[in-house]
Amino acid sequence: MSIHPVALARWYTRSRRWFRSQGMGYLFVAPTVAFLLIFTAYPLLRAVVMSLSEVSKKGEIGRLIGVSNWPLLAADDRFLLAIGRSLQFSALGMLGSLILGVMLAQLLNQRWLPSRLTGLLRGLSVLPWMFATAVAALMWGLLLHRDGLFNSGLAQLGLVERPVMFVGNPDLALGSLAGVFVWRVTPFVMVMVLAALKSIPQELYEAAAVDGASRWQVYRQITLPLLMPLLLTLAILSFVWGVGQFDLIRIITGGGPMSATEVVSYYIYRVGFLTLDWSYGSTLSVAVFLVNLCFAMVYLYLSRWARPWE
Amino acid sequence: MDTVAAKAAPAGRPALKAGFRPGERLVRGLSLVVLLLLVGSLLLPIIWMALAAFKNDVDLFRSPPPLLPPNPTLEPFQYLLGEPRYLRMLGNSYLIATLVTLLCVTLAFLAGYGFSRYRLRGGGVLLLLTLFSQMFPQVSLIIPYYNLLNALGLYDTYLGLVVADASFILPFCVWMFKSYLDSIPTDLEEAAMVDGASRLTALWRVVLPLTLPGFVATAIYAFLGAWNEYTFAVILTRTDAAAPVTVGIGEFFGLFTVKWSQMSALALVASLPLMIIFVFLQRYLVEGMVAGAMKS
Repeated sequence: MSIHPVALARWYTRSRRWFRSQGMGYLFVAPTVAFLLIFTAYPLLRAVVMSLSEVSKKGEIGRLIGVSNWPLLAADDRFLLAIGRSLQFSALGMLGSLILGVMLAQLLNQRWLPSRLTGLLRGLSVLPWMFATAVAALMWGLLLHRDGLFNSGLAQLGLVERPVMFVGNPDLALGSLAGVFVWRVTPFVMVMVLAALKSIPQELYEAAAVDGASRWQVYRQITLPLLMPLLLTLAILSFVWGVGQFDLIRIITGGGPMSATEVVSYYIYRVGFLTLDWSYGSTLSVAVFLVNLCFAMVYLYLSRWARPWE
Repeated sequence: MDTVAAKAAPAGRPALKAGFRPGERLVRGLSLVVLLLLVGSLLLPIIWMALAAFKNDVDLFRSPPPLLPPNPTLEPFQYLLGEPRYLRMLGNSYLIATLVTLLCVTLAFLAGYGFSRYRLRGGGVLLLLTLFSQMFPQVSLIIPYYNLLNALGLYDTYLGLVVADASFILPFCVWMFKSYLDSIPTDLEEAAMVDGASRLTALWRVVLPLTLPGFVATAIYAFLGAWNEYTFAVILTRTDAAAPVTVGIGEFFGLFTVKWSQMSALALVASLPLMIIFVFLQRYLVEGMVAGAMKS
C-alpha cells in the first residue's frame, strides 16, 4: 500500500493550515493547562476521591466507601451550626462591604472634587486590600484588645463601664471578625464600583437633568440599574470569599470563644487536622463546594434578570 | 408648591451645574466630611499598627491611649535584628513571591494570548473551570497538596510553596491577560505578519510592548497574592528554611504573651516594600483587575 504523493501534500497543507489557525493556540495554552491539571485539578479530584474512600491518618487513600459519609453530614449538628455561622459571617461581610464600598465610590465620584484629591483618597483607601491576613489580624488585634484603642475610646466617651470583649465575648466575636472582613473587602468593592460609575455615559445624566429629574430619581432610574450586574457579581464574590475565609479566623480567634466563630472552613480544618479524619473532612469540603456552586447558579440566573435590556 | 420648586431649581439650569442652589454647599460639605471619615477609618488600623511598632509595652495599651509614642523606641526593631530567623523568613517571602510572579506572568501571558487570539475548542469551558476551582475551600486542598508535594519531594521547600501559591493565583492572571489582550486590536500584529514576521516575532516585538501595563498589573496581583499567603505556608512548611514572613507574624499569636510591638515591627518591615510598590503602581493593578473582573 502506498500513499499518493498528492494526498500527502494535501494532508500536509491542511495540517499546516490547521496549525496556523488553531494548533498554535493550543501550544500557547498548553503550559498553563498542564500546570493547572497537575497542581489544581489533581488535588481537587483527590479531595473528591478522599471523600468517597477510607483515608489513613497520613492522607493515603484506602478502600472505597462510596457516599456513606453523606448521611453523617445531616446528623452532624456541629457542621450545621458551622454552616449557619458561615452564612451569617458572609452575609454580614457582603452587606457591610457593599454598602460601604458603594458609598465610598459614590462619594469619590463627585465631579466637583478636585481630581488630585480623589486620586489620593482612592489610593489611600485601597491600602487595606494589600495587607496580608496575618498583618490585618495583628492590626485589628491591637484595636480590639481589651485595653486597645476602641475600648479606651469608648471608655473616654463614657459609653462603657467595663471593657467590651470584642473577640472574647461569644455574642460579639463573629460580628467583630465580619467587621475585619468588611475592612478588607470594601476597597475592592469601591474600586470596581468606581470604575463602573465612570463608565456610565455622561449624556444620560445630562438628559435626566434637562428633564428635571431629582437626585434620587436619577439614582434610582439610571445609576442603580446600570450598577446592578456589577453589584450582583460583587455580592456573590464577597459571599464566596466569606465562606472560604479561614486564616483570619484561625489567627484571631481559633474558632473560639466556645466555638462562637467556628465557621465551616474552620470546622473542616478541625476535622482534618485535629481529629485526622480526612475522609469526613473532604466530604465537608465537597458539601461547601456544592453550596458555593448553588450560589453561583443563582447568580447566573439573576444576572440574566439584572440585564433586562439584553 | 410649584413656585417653591421653581425657585429652588430655576428652569433651564442643568442640575449638574447647580453650584449655587441653597443647600448645595451644605450637601457638598457634608459629603466631603463623610468621605474623609470613611477613608480615615479605613486607614486607622494601618496607622495604629505603624505607631505601635515604636511604642513600648506600657504605652501600647494605656488608657487614654497616647496618640504618638511618648517614648519612641527602636527596641522592637533591634529585637528583630537579633533574631536571624525573621530575616530569613523575610528573604523567603521575597524569593517565593518573585518566583510565583515570574511563573504566573509567563504562563498567563502565553495562555491569555492563546485564549484571546485563537478560537480554541473547549476554551470557554476551560476558562470557566479555572474559576470554579476557586470555589473549593482552600483548607480542604491542603492534604491533597501535602500528599502531592511529598510525592514530588517538594514538602517544606520554596518550590513546593511556589507551585501551591501559583495554582491559586494563576487562573485570575490568565483572565486578566485575556481581557487585556482582547482590548488590543489584532491589526498591528497582523500587519507585522503580512510584512513577513512570524507569529512569535510579532508576539515578541509588537504584542509584548503593548501589553506592558497588563504585565505590571498581573505581576503586582501575583506578587501580593504570594507575599500574603498564609494557609498553605503554615501547613506546607515545617522549618524556617522555607517559611515566609506571614508564618512568622502568625506565630506571635500562638504565644502566651503576645509581643505586640515586636510583631508590629515585623509586620511593618514586611509590608513597607509592598506599600511603596503599591502606591506607585496601583493604578495599573486597579485597571487590570477591573478589566479582568468585569469580563468574568
